[in-house]
Amino acid sequence: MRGLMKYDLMQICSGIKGAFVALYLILLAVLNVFSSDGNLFSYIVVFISAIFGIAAFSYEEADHWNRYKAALPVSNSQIVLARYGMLGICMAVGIIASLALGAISGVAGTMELAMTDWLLSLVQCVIVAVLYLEIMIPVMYRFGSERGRIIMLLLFLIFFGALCGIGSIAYEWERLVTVYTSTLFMAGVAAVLLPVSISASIRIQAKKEY
Amino acid sequence: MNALEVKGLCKQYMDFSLKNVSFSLPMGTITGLVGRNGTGKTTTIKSVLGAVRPDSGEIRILGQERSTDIMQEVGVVYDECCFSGLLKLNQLDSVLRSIYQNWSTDVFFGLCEKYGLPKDKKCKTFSRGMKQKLSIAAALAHNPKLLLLDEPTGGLDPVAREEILDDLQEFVEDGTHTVLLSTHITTDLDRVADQIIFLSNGEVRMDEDKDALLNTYCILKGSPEALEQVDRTDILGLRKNAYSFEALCRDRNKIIRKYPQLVCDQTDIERILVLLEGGVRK
Repeated sequence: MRGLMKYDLMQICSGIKGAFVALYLILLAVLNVFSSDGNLFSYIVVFISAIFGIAAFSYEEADHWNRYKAALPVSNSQIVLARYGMLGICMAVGIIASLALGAISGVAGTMELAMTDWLLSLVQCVIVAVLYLEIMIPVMYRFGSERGRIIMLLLFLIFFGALCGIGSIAYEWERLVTVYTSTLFMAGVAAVLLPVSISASIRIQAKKEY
Repeated sequence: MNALEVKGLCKQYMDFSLKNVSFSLPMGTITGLVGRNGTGKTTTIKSVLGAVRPDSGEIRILGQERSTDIMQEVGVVYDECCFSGLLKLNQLDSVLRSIYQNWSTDVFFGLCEKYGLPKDKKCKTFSRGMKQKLSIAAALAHNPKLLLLDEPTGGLDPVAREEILDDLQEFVEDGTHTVLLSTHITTDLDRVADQIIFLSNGEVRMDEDKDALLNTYCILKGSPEALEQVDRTDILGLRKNAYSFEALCRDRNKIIRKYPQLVCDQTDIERILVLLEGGVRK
């Protein structure tokens, strides 16, 4: 499992370095921090790290690494858990980068929000990114990277539409629904969804043929 | 104990099916898997590896059912390199070392050096032949007991092919390693194979010792008029044109005695394949 995670991470790092993406992101981060948008960019970094991790699905389809993996002495569970583990590491790197950006913005005096508010918003972004991955990963396993992205876009529109509807209803009950309760609720959904997502991914992976 | 036993392997696709494919690979041998395009060679190999789930049949590797433990003893080389072009050799070594218990970094880099693969460049800069050599090096580096190769020498120059074939022969020399080699380059099989399995339309049409095959089968040649004298039950495959015919026959000594007026040549794997599958041509 460690070898599979290493493979994905090395590939992603190599891809980021080779296409100067890292340089571009650092430049953007610097620009945003000093133009008082540092807190906004720190939220975006969390999603960018998740998207980089998802790119592993495209890479393995292009190289037929998924076919080679089927012949390795690893089980389907290990294949899937390695992918979740790798994405967890990508998210962790994104969170660390976000915290660093927030801290730099705070020190530079360009942070528009109070630190506690910013941290709470960051937690919410992380939970949303985790939810995104928990839905995206089984979709990618099932439909492949190309169709998976299109399906994910449709799911996102439905999900976002549903959230807007719930939000407008919750607005009427704003005294009951605070930002803390909604954050806790989302975290609870993410926690419950994780084993469901992993289990679905393992079942889909077990049925795949190359 | 056989290195690989396949019994009654069946797999149905929309326009193709594997039907009751059965064969065994004795330890310490190189078996050639031949057949036309689309006859099921790759599907058979993928079924053994678990990349395809057969509809029915039994597969035993080194006497055991396929499991993650037994796959430690299996190496594979596909018709194209499956490694990321973004990685270098040392990164690949690091990955595969974590997966295979018997992985040897020394053997891997030794083979890479022998095959002329640069250590400091990403795999995407390699030519097709170099990528294939990398696949072979990775497959051999963990000392598998069973090595499955699907068109491994496509894209390799003749010198590189010779090197690979020499390595495969050395690999099976000690009698504890076995190779299944699916290839269209039948001259490679003439050189190194011990056994030939011939797939046709998803079925095993022939499964014989290579030397016995080449000694038993022969090519009968003559003019179209002379073909009238040949008993059709002696002909396994026939190609003819306006000026001559070639007929694949069995039992060379008997055919020589029966048709002394006709030319009876020794055959090779390619001619057997062409005549069995080629059909009648005018």
